[in-house]
Amino acid sequence: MTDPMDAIRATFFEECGELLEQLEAGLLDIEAGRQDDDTVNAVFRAVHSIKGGAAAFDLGPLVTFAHEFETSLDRLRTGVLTPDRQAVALLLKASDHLADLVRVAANGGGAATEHPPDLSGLMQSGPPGSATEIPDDPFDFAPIKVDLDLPGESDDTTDFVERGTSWSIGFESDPSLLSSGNEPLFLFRALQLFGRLTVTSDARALPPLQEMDARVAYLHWSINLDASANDLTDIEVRSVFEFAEDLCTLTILPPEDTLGQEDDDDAEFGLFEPLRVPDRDAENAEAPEEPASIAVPQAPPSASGPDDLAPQLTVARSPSLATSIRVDLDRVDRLVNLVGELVISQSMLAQSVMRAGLEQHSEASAGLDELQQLTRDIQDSVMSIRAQPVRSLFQRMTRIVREGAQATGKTVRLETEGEGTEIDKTVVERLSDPLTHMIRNAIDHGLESPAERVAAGKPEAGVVRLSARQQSDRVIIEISDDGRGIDRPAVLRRAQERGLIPDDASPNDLPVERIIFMPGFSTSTAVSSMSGRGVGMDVVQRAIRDLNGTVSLTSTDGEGCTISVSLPLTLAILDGMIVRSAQQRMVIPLSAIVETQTVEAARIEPLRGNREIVRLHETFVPLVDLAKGMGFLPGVAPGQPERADDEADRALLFVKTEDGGPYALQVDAIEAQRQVVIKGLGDSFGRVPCVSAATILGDGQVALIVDPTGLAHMAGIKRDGAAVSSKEVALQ
Amino acid sequence: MRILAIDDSRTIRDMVRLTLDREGFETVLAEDGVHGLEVLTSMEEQPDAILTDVNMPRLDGFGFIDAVRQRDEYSAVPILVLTTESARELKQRAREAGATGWIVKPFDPARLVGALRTVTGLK
Repeated sequence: MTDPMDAIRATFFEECGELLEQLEAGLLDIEAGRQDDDTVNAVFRAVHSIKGGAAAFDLGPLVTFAHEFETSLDRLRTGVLTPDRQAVALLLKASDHLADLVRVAANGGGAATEHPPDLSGLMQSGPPGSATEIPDDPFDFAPIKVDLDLPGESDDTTDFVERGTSWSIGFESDPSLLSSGNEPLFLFRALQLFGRLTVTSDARALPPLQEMDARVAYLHWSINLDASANDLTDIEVRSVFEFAEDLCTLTILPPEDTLGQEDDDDAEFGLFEPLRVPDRDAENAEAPEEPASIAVPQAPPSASGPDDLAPQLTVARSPSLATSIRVDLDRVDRLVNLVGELVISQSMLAQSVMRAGLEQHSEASAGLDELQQLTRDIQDSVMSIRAQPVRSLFQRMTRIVREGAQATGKTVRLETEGEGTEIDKTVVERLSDPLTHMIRNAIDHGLESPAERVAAGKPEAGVVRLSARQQSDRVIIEISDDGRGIDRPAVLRRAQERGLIPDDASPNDLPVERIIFMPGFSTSTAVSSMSGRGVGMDVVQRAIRDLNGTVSLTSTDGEGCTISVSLPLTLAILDGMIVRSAQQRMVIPLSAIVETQTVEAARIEPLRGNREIVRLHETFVPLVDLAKGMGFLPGVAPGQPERADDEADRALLFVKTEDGGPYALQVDAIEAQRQVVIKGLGDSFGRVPCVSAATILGDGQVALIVDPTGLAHMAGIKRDGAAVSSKEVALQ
Repeated sequence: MRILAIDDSRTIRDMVRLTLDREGFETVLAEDGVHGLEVLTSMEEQPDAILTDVNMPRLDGFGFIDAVRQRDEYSAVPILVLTTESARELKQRAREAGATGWIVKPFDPARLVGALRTVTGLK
């Protein structure tokens, strides 16, 4: 069995991640001048909670720094520290360092990668003249396990002294004892664990009934404890009164001090009927005339130990945090996987039913329809478990924008919209890097300097806009800026210099919107401090494509640029077209298909080099035979009809790629449109060009899912395919 | 024994629950003072004791204790404050609000359980 503390430890680090996010978001709000008490308190609490948890796991360096950080934030909270630019910058640094320490601790310790920022500046700044009023650190925090807070711990020398067993305890409660929830009876019960108890109450302070306040403690008590062990210590006895000690006058006389005192042992325990556990009102209302002896009733035996309590465990944990539960991602993924299997076996069942030749309206088909609907509902519900709002992702971008603005000296405002839009958790995580890069690009290349902006009649502050919205089964994320737009001639020049396009190519052949995504094209003319990190838009595109998404870019001169990322709601299910080619069934993602046509052979134009093109509306597009493109030999299986000869009509799918125009994919037959469950090829395959994944079809057969962009690359039509073929057509 | 434990840190909530589960206590959790009050008033039977953090969003521990003690039916429920703070003036504030006792985090499980047993009369 795993140690439950491991799970809590995992929870702690997970929670740290959330708290660090809150911390940063709060600090950025403060930086933006949006600080109210709530923000400052939230920031303080985030660090405080990290400290608390870290102390529980004995994570020394983390505790120490969190404490220091917390102290600075407390100064912010109490208004001693003014959150000027410098202070906030330092606090942000501190939050980075804290994140660093958390990471180190999560990875099992070691040293932080960076030195801690010096927070002493925060301890000295403040409104003039206020420095002297600053109290010393009010939190004398140290990660100590127990705070007994007991006086006289050190001078207790009686520990090892053999002595008698009769203790005498005087307990005079303050009137306010009861209102703190300290119940004398309970304290006596706790004392009783040490031995036999005789309690005498002094009710002289009890007022007449009509003047009595049930919440006031009027009684004083003298207790005689006949300890069952003779090594009972003063500390043990006192610890019973720990929480009440400041609300009473307590005198504890150990046995040797009571020698010679009257041993008031005639009140034999058991001589008195155990009193019913009096509730407070009754206890106070009961007015014994003079000091009276009562035996403290035993706690009900049925509840005296954990074992006896065991049956209570079955009691439903009624109103505990019912609104949400946290589930390990692995479990959800297993569920997703199982639902995938369900979809597959449901479609297998559908095929069997069809093959059985049952009537269309038979009970079996009706039941199957229902099953299909249910399966789809289950699938949607399971997928929604993995869905997460993009809010945290967008929040992280605030930081990127801030850093970008600082690095370039531009003034940038980030606007966000649709933060509540939900998308698969994995997608959210894997979008962070591409989004970061696109935002850096927008600030570095898109936005003009403040002076240029003013000259162009724009507001000085540039705007980067981040929006998310759901569009049927996809989520569209847009990153736009109100900058100068893409410098088309410069992009073209650059691409020519790099040999990416022919020297005589014009923007009409290949729009700059597409050139930007070419591998090897760096949008930066000089290695700038920001986006010039060798990462181009092609890498962004690759990352998005890995998520089954697409990227496109539109730019308007002088008005700015918008990059639109379209992503599937989920990574596990794909709408696809099942096609047959060379006796293989394969799946083409529906999202890539522009249209399907059956084309007469005569409409296909041959080109040099055994290539073919076909007319699609007003343009010619290259044609790729799926089987050839994938490397399958056409028509080899014995007993199968020869593949479509040159004279026969051809089934074509016009598919689009992310970095080029559409092309035609020739297949033997288009079978059906289906939702398929995406199954990874597994690690042993590595990356297979032109195959994005596999699926299991209704008949149990495995089919590959084709990556149309990869296929275009393999077939050599690549990005400039459209341009080349239109030229060659012109030559004919 | 039924304990209502309030802390905005999931880590601490988990730890408290684990500690109390081992003792066979029933633990009901809440995330902050406001939530704590909601949970408390919706419980069919009063908890035998309440554990609360101090620093929490919406309503802190002091405010929570204050609000609980305002209601007669909860005037005697033992409330232990479980916090990383140990400053005397904060303890005093908790006391004034009506706290029964104060335990410093990180807590020693045996001590937490012992304190709960003491203030609840060894239930």
